[in-house]
Order: sequence, then structure tokens, then C-alpha cells
Amino acid sequence: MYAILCRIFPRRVAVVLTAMVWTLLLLLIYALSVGPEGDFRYFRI
Amino acid sequence: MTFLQLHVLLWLCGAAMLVWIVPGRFARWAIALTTAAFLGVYAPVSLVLLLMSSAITVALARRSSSAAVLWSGVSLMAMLLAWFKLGGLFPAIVPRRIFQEAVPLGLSYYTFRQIHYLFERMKNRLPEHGLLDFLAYMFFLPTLMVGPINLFGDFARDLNRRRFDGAMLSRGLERVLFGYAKIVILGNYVASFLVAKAIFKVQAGNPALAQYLDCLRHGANLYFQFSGYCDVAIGFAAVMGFRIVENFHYPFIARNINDFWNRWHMSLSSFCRHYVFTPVASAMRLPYVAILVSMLVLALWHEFSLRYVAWGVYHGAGIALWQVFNAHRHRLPGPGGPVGKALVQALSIFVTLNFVIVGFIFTKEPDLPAAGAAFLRLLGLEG
Repeated sequence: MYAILCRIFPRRVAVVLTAMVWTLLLLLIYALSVGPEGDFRYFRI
Repeated sequence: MTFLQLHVLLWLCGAAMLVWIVPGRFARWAIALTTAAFLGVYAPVSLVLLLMSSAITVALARRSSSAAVLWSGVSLMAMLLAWFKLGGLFPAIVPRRIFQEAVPLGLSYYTFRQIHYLFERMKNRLPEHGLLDFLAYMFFLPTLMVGPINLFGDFARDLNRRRFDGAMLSRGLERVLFGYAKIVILGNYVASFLVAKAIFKVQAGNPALAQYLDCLRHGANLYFQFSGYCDVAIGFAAVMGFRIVENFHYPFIARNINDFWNRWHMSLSSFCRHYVFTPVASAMRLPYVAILVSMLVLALWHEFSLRYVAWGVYHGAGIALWQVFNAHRHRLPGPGGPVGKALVQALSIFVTLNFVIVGFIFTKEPDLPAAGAAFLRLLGLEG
């Protein structure tokens, strides 16, 4: 993804955008799996 | 304590940011002190043990190059690990309470790293390095808890050469995401919940089939969980600018049991090959005994229990049988054309996969009698 973003944006912007996208996806997994203890665990759809 | 806990993830993010924020000459301090602070907060026993064992390791390695002195260091680290793991096999000797409460976080990994360091010192294969390089290696947060057992030479090289690289950062973050997805979605949800529920329905009608499917499910779950944890560790290491050895490489398509151990928990099997199999084989000139000893060490590293002894013997016997077969294979007629070769390959993968997943009965069941009962169920000899 970084390589694709580098073609569209300057390198520094691409780094920040890459980090943001992966972090958002990780937060999505967290939101779908957060258990009563507040940890990743109980993924259910 | 695992990567699934939110505070561990936050500490890893903090460590990754700090290592790039501080000036390069303080990066070693940043790596070591962040991990020391983490252990101080969550596992003080582990911090004390890691500090003490690292001090002993570095003192022995710097003061002497004598094999006897370095072997005593290796034995000391092995005994330290054995003492804390013995509670599983001899609860009367090491009370269960101590065993459960004080098995230090990451002990299995850092003692093996120290043994690796001492062996490499013995063979004069360590690169030029300072005390801080060693401390950063021992106190490297991403690989502290679940490995892989990374090598000092690779780590020291990256420590000196690391530069901020957007592509590596992206690959690292991607790997972290894939790791969490493997653990949480494929492991916890698909294998442990959906598939387990489906197998439960088969249980009443066909217990043998249910047992076989459960072995498959258990193997897949182990793979997703453990390789997922390794992905997170390797990913965070990449974010910090370090390339860590891979630990899994499509193990379930291995063509023989030897090949399987070159693909499953590769850092541990490589450790056992270099530091257990080679010394034992060269000292005793009995390769089959060396295979058995290596597989026992590998198994007992996971847990000191009879079921893991049985698992180690099972795999040791499997590798020895494969070696015997391989030595005499040339006497058998060849597979013929490309179709024959493809069939032989498919059969090899099928046999290896089944050998491995049936072996998972030992690790799946709580003890050896339960594993025996599960074997009988698998053979359809018990309702």
C-alpha cells in the first residue's frame, strides 16, 4: 500500500497515510472483538 | 500476558515511537529501558531474573573464552529454565502455587537467547559489539514474550544499520494487522468457535470422525494463534527497524516430517538443530539418539510434562523413521512421469499432515491418560 500511496502523495504524507489506514483497520478488529476486560478476544460478527 | 491485552499493544506502540524519537545514539538505551520499565510494572520477577541472567551471561562471555566456563553458563541457563518449568512435572517438588504465580514472562525465550549468545561466543562467531548492544538484544520488547528466538548477529547488524524506511514501516504495520486478524478472527472466532461448534454436532453420531476433525481444528488454531503472535512481534520489530527471522513457513504443506520442522517454529527447531543435535551427534556419533534428544528438548521447552515427553518421542521417532526411509529410498522404483511425481508429492503432504495432526492429541489433551483415551476414540475403539 505504501508503494501505491507514494505514487500519489509525497513520501512523508504516504508514510502518515499508511500508518493511519493500518491503525484504523486494527481499531476495527479491536472494536469487533473487545471483551469485558477491554482486550482483543471475543471476535463475533 | 499476551499481545491481545490492550496495555501490551500500547506499550509496543510507545516503544516503537520512542526508538525513532530519541537521537540514534540513545536508541539502545530507549529499547532496553522501555522493556525494563514494562517488566518492572507487569512482571518484576521476570525483570530481576532477566537482569541477573544477562549479567551472568555477559560476565562469562567477556571474561573467558574457555569452553568449560561457557558450558557452565549454558548449564546454568538451562537449569534456571528447568527449575521454573519443573512445577508441571513434579508439583510436589516445586509447589503449584510457585509454579503458577512466578513463571517469569518470556523466560523460555530469553534463556534460549542467552544460551545462543554463549554458544556463539564459544565458537568466536559473535560480531564486534558493546554491552549496550547485548542489553538491547536481551531487552527487545517485540520478541520478549512470544519469540521468535532471534539471533544476536542479525540483531546487532540491524542495530548499527537501521534507518527510517517508510516501506519497512508499512510492511511492519501490515504484518501487525495480519497477526491480530489471524489470532482474533481465524483463531479465536473461526477455529475455536465456529468450527468447534460444528464438530460438537458431529460428536454424537460419529465420535471417531469428530476426534479427527478436532485434531485438525486444534492444529489450525495453534498455527493461527502462534503464527499470529509471531506476525505481531515481527511487525513491531520491523516498525522499529529490525528484521526478525521468520518462525512459520506454510508448515501444513510439508512433504515429510523433517520438512515440517523446517517450517514450524523455525527459530526453535533451528536452535535445537545447532545447539542440541549437532553437539550430541558429534559427541556420541549416534544420530538417532541425537534426534531423540533434540526433539525431547524441543518438546520440554514448551512444557515439562509427560504429555510433552510423549509428543517429543513421537516426533523424534517420526524423524528417525523418515531418515531410515530416506536412506533406502533409492532402492524403490521412481514415481515415473510428472503425474506420478505430483501424486507422490500429494501423498507425502497428506501423510505428513496426518502424522502431525494426530500428534497434536498429546498437546490438545490435558494429560497422558486423556491423550490415550483420545487415541482410542480416534481409532473408533471407545464410545
